[in-house]
Amino acid sequence: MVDLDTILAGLSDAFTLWNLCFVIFGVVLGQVVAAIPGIGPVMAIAIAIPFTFGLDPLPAIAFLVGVCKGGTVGGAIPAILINTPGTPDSAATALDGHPLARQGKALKATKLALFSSVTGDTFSDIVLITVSAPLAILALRMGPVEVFALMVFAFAVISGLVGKSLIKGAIAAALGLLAAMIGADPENASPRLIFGHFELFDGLPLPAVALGMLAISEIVTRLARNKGINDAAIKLSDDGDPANQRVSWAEYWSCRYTMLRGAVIGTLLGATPGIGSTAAAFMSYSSTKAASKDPDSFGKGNIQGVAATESANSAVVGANLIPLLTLGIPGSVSAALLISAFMIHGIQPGPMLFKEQGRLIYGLFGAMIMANFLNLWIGQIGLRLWIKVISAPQSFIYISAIMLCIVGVSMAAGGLFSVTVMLLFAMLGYIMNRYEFSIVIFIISFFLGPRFEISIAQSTSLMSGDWTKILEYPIAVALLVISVLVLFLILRRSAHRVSQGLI
Amino acid sequence: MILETDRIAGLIIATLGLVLLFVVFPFAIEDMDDGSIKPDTLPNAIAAFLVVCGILLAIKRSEQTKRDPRELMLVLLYLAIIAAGLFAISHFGFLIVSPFLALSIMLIFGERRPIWLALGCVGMPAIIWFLVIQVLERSLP
Repeated sequence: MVDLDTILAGLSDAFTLWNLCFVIFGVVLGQVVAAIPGIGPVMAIAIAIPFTFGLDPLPAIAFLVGVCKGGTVGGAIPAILINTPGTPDSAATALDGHPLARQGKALKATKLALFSSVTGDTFSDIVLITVSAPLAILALRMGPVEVFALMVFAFAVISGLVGKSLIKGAIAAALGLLAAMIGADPENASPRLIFGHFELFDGLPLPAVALGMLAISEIVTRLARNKGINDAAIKLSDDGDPANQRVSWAEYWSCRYTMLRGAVIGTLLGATPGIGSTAAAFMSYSSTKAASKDPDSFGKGNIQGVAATESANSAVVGANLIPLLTLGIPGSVSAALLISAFMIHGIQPGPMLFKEQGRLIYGLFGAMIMANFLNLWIGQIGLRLWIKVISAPQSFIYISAIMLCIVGVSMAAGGLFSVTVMLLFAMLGYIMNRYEFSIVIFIISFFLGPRFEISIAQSTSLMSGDWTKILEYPIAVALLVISVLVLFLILRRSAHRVSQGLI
Repeated sequence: MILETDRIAGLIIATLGLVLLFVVFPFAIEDMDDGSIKPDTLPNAIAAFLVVCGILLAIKRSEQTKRDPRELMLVLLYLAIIAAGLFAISHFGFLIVSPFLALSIMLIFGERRPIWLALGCVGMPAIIWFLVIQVLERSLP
């Protein structure tokens, strides 16, 4: 257990002007780059890591944490304004954020996203700081069988609740898993479905798939639909009604349970390696929609939808550090990049970290607290400025986004082959969107695919190939039963809505 | 049975599953006996799942939505231009090709204002060059 002296020394290390400058720089960079479709905080972290080599560990890590946190706020801006998520995490925010922008409430939506984001983030940081060690012990007890069951549960919930049709959701999930099968299989490292392209040996690059399906497919669709319309991608309408440009305390307070639910979901999923913020955002959105008295208003500009997704995806950032700091397991792509930065600076994440480098860790916690306040402060000042970035004519915005996606994917995923992959997935994304197969389910499944397969292989090995032994794992059985119940409830609700003529 | 889009999509998905199961996977996945599960176990399960879901989608009652074929043609045109741009980038580099790529897409979209055309064709590639080469010291494709 870390003593109080170490905690206070760590916090005092963090609260210096030097560290503050790095956190500010990180937050600004995170917010700006995430606001540009096609870049995002993951790439910003990847690019920024080499620039931190010459720094001391604390300012270096504080800077990268600032980029991560700033990215959660910035990613919501293009999602809301032009329905093009700056990050996959923000795809759910677009569902209600963009309709709000279309109604002339873009600033209200972006400000609510900022407040929800900071609220969720602060909640998960408090959890991280206070209960990271006990949660890590709990996570340590989760073996491959429980992880497998947890993923089945995630697939069931997401397939059922995202999109209109359970069958189409299941097909999208299966296609995503299928795409994840490309590359070396996790057990034997034998190549699968690479058709002679050895660039595919490590699997399809996630940035190429995500940006192709979410960004490029959306951009070419908009180019096709809006041909000849040379207005701004989105106009920030100022109808003189200040209520449309701000978030009142009453509106913020009305979202308190939604934000709390989102923060809890984000924290729980963030603390579980492999699930990630995109899944958290959609699960929070789905559960808020399911709990709402007016579910039909979701997708049409309900502020609860924005609060649900932003609180959840931001809560993941802090919670991601729980398995990273205590077990050394990254929970997401950002966390994987952070872990590499930790190692560069001589920090070995794992169970002994709190004992051996407690002062540094509490310094990091101090930097995270600073980053949260700065996120709120810089976000309020900078929102209008970041919005200007994407208030130019559609033609300019979309061609800029296309060029940034080409360069970004080429840099992040290694060469033009990845850009070609991005283009192929843009086509697939367009077709799926056109025929109402959820591309978000596809991407979540694609991201979870490798870990899902590993958990199946490990579970099979653990149970000696006899899957009836799963009954010896009560947590896994409970999760599977809940999955079946969730699917049953979704089907019953769907049948009820059909019989009522609502669909 | 009316051939609604969902029914056609279901049939295509089911056919895709069958083709993967019986044609693609036996050819593109090596058979290995080591390990807890074979390399083709999960892909085969997913393909079979696709067949079942495709059939279910084809037989279930569904909505019929009209879709604009012109939009599809335009999307294909833009993707083809980007693909041609990528091919040209692989030979001549991003800096030389990107202004032409930007100009062609902006003109097809309907942009005619010289300032915005200049910003898109010259300004943005210049900003990207400055950011990537000068600031980040990385290379452009």
